[in-house]
Amino acid sequence: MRRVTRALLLLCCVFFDTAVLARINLWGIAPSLVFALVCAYTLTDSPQLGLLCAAAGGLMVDLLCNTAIGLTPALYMLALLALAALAKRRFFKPFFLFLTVSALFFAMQALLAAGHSLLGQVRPYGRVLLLVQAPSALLTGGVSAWFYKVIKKRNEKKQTYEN
Amino acid sequence: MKKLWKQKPWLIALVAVALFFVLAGLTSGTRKASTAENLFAAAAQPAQGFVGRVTDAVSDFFLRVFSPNALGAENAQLRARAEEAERKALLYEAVARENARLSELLDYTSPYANMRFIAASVTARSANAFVDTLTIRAGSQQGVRERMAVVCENGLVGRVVEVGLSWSKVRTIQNENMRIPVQIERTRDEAMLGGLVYHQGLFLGFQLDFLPEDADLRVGDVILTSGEGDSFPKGLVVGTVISVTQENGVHLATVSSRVDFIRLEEVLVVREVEEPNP
Repeated sequence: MRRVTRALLLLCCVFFDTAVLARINLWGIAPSLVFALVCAYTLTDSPQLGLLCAAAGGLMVDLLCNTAIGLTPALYMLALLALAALAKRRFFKPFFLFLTVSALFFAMQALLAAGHSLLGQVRPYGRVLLLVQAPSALLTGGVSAWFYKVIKKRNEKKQTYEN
Repeated sequence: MKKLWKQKPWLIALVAVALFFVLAGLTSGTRKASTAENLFAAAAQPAQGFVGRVTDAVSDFFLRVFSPNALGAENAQLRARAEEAERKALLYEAVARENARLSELLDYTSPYANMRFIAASVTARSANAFVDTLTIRAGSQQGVRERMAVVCENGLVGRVVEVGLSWSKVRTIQNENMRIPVQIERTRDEAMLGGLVYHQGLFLGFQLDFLPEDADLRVGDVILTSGEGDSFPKGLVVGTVISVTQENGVHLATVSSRVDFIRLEEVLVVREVEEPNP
């Protein structure tokens, strides 16, 4: 049951990212719900679950609307590996999660921008990063912290009920 | 494997990351969709279409509630355009009849004569700010093929880069790597459109390169595809010139497209029909 709920939630986030937030956003500023959710899973459940969901979610996003299939899951998984390494230090609270996820999301976008610049493309990536991706990263961090709180609460409730 | 996944997930994750990067490299070009992609898209498309329709309805509702003035202005603008279109339609009928008669006399074949269109709705957009891809609901079953041009009522949208059974992915002309051979409608001068023009971080339009030195380019000139090379069919509207400057004898022009790439809902895929040999 829990697995089905997780899979459905991930699917909802994928649809929301590709069909809703791609249409309704302010100047391109929108959180990435899939990334926020997999970050929360990494900390509430296990890094393995987070990585698995990152691979599946990223792949679905690429299959639905990107042409280079595999880039999104690869970047998500790299970010989650960094998050899992940081989580070992046990200083995680929702506020730290908000900051870390925001920073990781921003780093991921900066990596993409660097890749595009290296390929000789000419957009003002610095400006896009600052005006669009930085607020999007903060939103993603905020959503991730909220996901973390909700999932943790549910897990604790379930554990109390089972005990 | 299961034990390794539990004990050292990072090792398997790194291998997966490397494989994903290889996959991304292999799938980045123009291609036909694989069976797995087709299966996934077939399963996801109804849900995605439903989510898209609900989103449009919700955004329209909020637009009506929060900006009635903007809607009023748009309404007035549309009414004026409809009246103008009616006037033009009357004129067009006479001109079309005359054109057909003269074409017959000259044995001339119009570039539009062998064009057919496949209508498709936009089901998804790339969720990333650095990628310009649309997913549309029309694929090989509807006759869509790789590299076909995609247009909407406001002009050229892009080119099909991946084709599934009932869906396709379109790379828009906002992609920096897109180079489009074009023609100025008024003077018939040929040039190359490509490269995005930004001013203070805001997207202004596309750069017009390789213009002839004596080109008589003016603001407001309509830019069409020239049909040169193996790119786009001839005569598709790309946009209008919004600025022209000259530096050391070289023309620098910016072309603006009227296509609203963010709110695009329906597109037409241009299918060129081979004329049967007489």
